[in-house]
Amino acid sequence: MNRWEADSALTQIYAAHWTALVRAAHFLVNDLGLAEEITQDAFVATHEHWAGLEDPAKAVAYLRRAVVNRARSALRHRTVVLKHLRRGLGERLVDSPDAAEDVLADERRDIVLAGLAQLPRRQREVLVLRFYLDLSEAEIAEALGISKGAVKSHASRGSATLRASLGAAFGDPAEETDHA
Amino acid sequence: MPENNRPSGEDWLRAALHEAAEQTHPSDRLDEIRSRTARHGRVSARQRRWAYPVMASGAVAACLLTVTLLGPRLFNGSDTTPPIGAETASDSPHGSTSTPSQPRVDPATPVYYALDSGPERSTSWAPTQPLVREFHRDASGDRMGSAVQQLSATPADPDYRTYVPAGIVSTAQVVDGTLRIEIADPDATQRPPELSATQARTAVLQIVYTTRAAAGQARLPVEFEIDGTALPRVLGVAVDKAIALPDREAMAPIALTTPENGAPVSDELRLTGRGFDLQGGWIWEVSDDTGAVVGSGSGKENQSGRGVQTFEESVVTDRWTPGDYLVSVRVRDPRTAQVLPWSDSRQFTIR
Repeated sequence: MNRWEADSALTQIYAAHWTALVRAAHFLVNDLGLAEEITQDAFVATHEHWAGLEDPAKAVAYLRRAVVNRARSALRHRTVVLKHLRRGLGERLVDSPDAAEDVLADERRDIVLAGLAQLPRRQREVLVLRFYLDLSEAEIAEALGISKGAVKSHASRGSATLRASLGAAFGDPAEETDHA
Repeated sequence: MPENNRPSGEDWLRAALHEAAEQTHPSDRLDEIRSRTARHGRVSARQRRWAYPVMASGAVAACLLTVTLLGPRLFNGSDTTPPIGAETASDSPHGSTSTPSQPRVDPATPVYYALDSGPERSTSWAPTQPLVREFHRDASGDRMGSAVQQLSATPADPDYRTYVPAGIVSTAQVVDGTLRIEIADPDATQRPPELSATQARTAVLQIVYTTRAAAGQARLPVEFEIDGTALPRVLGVAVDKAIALPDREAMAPIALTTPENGAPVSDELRLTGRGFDLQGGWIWEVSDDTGAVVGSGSGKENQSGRGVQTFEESVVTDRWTPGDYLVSVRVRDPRTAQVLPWSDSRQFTIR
């Protein structure tokens, strides 16, 4: 193993990935404060396990897995959050005191959050990793510990449901074509 | 046809998620992460073996992190030069069982200084000099003590400076959920003649931000005290006003995290940092050792931020000859499109 410095590396990873990982976690748990806590914990855990990472280039993959696992764990143990997640579309989900500035854009975000929240957990995770973090099927399979076939299946079903949920609010062109 | 629509449907979903994500603005938690990793760096037996040995002088060995010196090599598998002040793990006085190839974890303390590369800035309180952050490392185990000591030391970055008089803070500790900062000298309630009002305000901000960061809690209530009595003014400054100043007004509008000063660069210069209102655009500029501008560009940040934002840009350097260069970053005001007068810069060397 080569010699490298956890603090320095984590600072670089933080600069490059903190915002995206918190946003991904926000999609998964629908609570910005919780998403920040989860991501912060994942960074600390990555630092703690640095010596065990055989290849430091894999630190980001480790970090992503840690975020997904912690989000899953947080949802499992926080029934309040689950109840929050299962609210229907169209209900405004205000998760931060400063969420009032750009109402239209925030509403569209909240519709996406609510649409994701309606999906089964696996489908939600696959869609966030695929369409927000832009991971390949192989990377998603590795992050979630499932087969590539399962990734395809979850992605296909989840995409269809989410597009149907968001279509009315976002004007999905594909949906319009389908109905034409 | 559904098959024909599928790719555009995926693109559409991707766009919808990215648009939604941009409405989420995470707060900056690097200081808290640093604090937590420093804590487990001290208490974990596994990581204690990585700790730096105490310097022979017994003094705090505060050393700047060599982020960029190490960074590019962290991910390509090559070996690295030990950071400044680093000792090999095998030299550890703790009876280490580690091998020289294992990483070390040391407490890293953020210290806030004034950005001296531009004018004072108007805020909702009063003019101040924008704050920037520099990470220091110490092996003392006393993170707060080290931070307080570094507050009055000369920062490594020539664009940064401190206005905190030496010895003004004797201790700082969290008691019952409040950060209590003990002032050493009763005369320190008055502004010393060598400080302007703006500099005194900046000094108080430096103390508040640095001690909160060392405590690992950015929003701690703060009280300045002397012999247990609360002080409403320090250096002639109303401390409640300093404590209430929002981050976006206290901090520099843009600041570099990497490269570190003097970093060697091979074929790519990696710029990372943080700022506010980056959706107005940020600009980088590279000049050679004669001061001539040899390259420039602008960063594209689509985040419409209310909080702190991070940025990242890779600049190809193969068109420049080996030598010393300076990279600086500035940000545009998103309302006026004017380039703000504060810049952060770093020297780097192309080999």
